[in-house]
Parts: sequence; structure tokens; C-alpha cells
Amino acid sequence: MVFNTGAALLDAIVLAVVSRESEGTYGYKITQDVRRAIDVSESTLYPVLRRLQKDECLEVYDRQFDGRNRRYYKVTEKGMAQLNLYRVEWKTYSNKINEIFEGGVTA
Amino acid sequence: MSRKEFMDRLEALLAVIPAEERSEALQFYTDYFEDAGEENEAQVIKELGSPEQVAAMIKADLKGDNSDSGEFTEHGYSDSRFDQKNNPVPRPNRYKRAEGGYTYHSTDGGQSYGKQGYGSDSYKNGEEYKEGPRTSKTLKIVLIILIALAVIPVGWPILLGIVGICIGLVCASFGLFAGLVIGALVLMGAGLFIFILGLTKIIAALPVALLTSGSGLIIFILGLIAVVASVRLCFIVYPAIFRCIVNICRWPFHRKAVS
Repeated sequence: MVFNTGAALLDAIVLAVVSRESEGTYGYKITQDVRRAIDVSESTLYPVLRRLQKDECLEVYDRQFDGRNRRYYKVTEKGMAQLNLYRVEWKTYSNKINEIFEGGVTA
Repeated sequence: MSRKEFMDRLEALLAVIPAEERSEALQFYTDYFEDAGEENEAQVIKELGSPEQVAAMIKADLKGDNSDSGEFTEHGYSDSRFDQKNNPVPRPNRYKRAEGGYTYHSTDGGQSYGKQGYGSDSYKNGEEYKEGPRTSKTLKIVLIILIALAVIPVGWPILLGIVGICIGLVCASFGLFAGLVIGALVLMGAGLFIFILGLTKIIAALPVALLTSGSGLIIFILGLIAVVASVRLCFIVYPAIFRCIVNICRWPFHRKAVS
């Protein structure tokens, strides 16, 4: 993709991806889901998850899976609030950009 | 590189960060390899890049957490220190390169002026562009004077001849069209005269009088048509000739003003 994904947008995408699973989801799956939308290197995701966890937007818990502990990520209430903020911001932002990009046709 | 080598290397590289952070990160990547499955191991290692890269990301983020700098700026992750693949050429660089080309180009122009003996290499962009036309104008004037000096002995007679021919042609065309108008007027007058002449014979010999005055009328009408036509022709032709003359006269001055 030619457009850079800023830190805030990456946070928002990760929060959105994690929030889709009410039971929470795990690192590998998050990475794959995020990479379906934007082209980021796989090594980018861990620091983001870790930071969101420290910011208390994500909480982690371990669950038994296939004879081992797998770490799950879940969006906290604070994380949901943050995600909603991102959604509103994104809507405004993308509308404005769309207006500029396509405004000539519709206007 | 195998998964074990990768993880060992990563662990070694993360030795400098707090133990808690290290175990978190190692746990994450252990999970990651487990979930990706053994069959995807090589793929995952390839996608993750080198352990050094992964470690650098983790460390940078820890640093960012403390100082709250860099990481949260709009340019963020994807084009900062780590992301090597699929990263578009950083915009500022590209501009810089373009600018460089531009500067180089104009410097080049300055040098070529320098070679001709006008101005120096120290010209900067805008200045130089202002300066450029003036020097070339001076050059042109000098050249024109030189050419004129060289041409004068042979040129004067030829030039005079050309001017004479032009004036002659103009006068001739004036005369031609004026002649057409006069001829038409005369034709009209003759027709009128014959018509009147015919009328005077009306008592003496009616048929002759009718014939004469009829032909007189026809000639008069023809003359009238010719007058109208030639006058209109003059209206078209004379302004054109005038414009042509004016343009020819203005040409040397006009050109000098433009250059």
C-alpha cells in the first residue's frame, strides 16, 4: 500500500480486530487478521499489543489449548471507549478525504 | 534458521530489557510459532525478519513508552526504523532528489552562461533566471549590429530596391482598385449619356431612340453594379493593404521589443 499506516490507525485496527471476538483472540490470529487489511510486517504487531495492554486497552489471560497455555487478548472497557473514539475520528477523517477525492463528481 | 535458533537469538538480544518484558515477548513469539504450526515455521521466520529486527522493534517500543516520543507520531510504525518491505520510497527523500536535480540543472545553466563570458557560476536559481534573458538580449543586439555592419555595403542598394518594389506594388494596387472604381463610374456616366441621347431622338425616330436609350439604361445599370462591386472590393482590399504596410513597418521595432 502506498499510504503509511500511522500508530493511531494501527492501534485502532488492532482494537477492532480483537473486539470482534467476545471471548478474546490470540496473537497469531490477530496478526493474520490485521495483515488482511493492511500490509504491516509481522514483527510490528507484538509491540502494539504490548503497548495496548500496558495502556489497559487490552487485557490478557492464558487459556489451555492443545496441551499448552495460549495467551488471549481481550478488549477492556477502556479499550472499547478508545476504539469508539477511533471509529468516530476515522469516520470524520475518511469522509473528509472522500469528499476531496470524489467531491468533484458528486458536487 | 530454525525456530529454536530464532528464539535463542531473540532471547539473547532481549537480555538488556527487563525480565518481565523479555518473558512476555518470548511468550508471545513462542505462541506465535505454535499457532502458525510447524509447517509454516519457515514462512513465519521469513515474515518476521531477523531476530535483530524483532528485538529492535520491542526495544524501540519500550523506549517509546518511557519517553512517549517517536512512536506516536503520524508517520508511526510503518515507515520508521524497521519496516523494510513494501515501504514506499520516503516522500521527503524523493522531493529532495527532485530538488537536487533541479538545482543541478540550473547550476548547469549558470555555467553555460559563464562560458559565454556573461555572469558567473555563483548565480542562484531565481536570480539567474532573471539574469538569463538580459544577457542573451545583449548578445542578440551585438549580433544584429555586426550583421548590419557586414551587410551595409551590399545591403543598402538591395534594401532600397526592395523598399521601392514594395512601395510600387502598394501604389499599383491602390491605382488598380481606384481605376476599377473610376472605370465603373465612367461606364455609368456613359450609360446615362446614351440614355439621354436616346431620349432626344424620340420624336425623330422612335425605334432608334428606344434602342439607344434602352442600351444606355443597360450600360448605366451595369456601371452602377460595377461601381458598387468595386467600392466594396476597395473596402476589403484597402484596409488589408494598410494593415500589411503597418505590419511591415512595425516588424523591426516589434521584434526588438519582444526580444
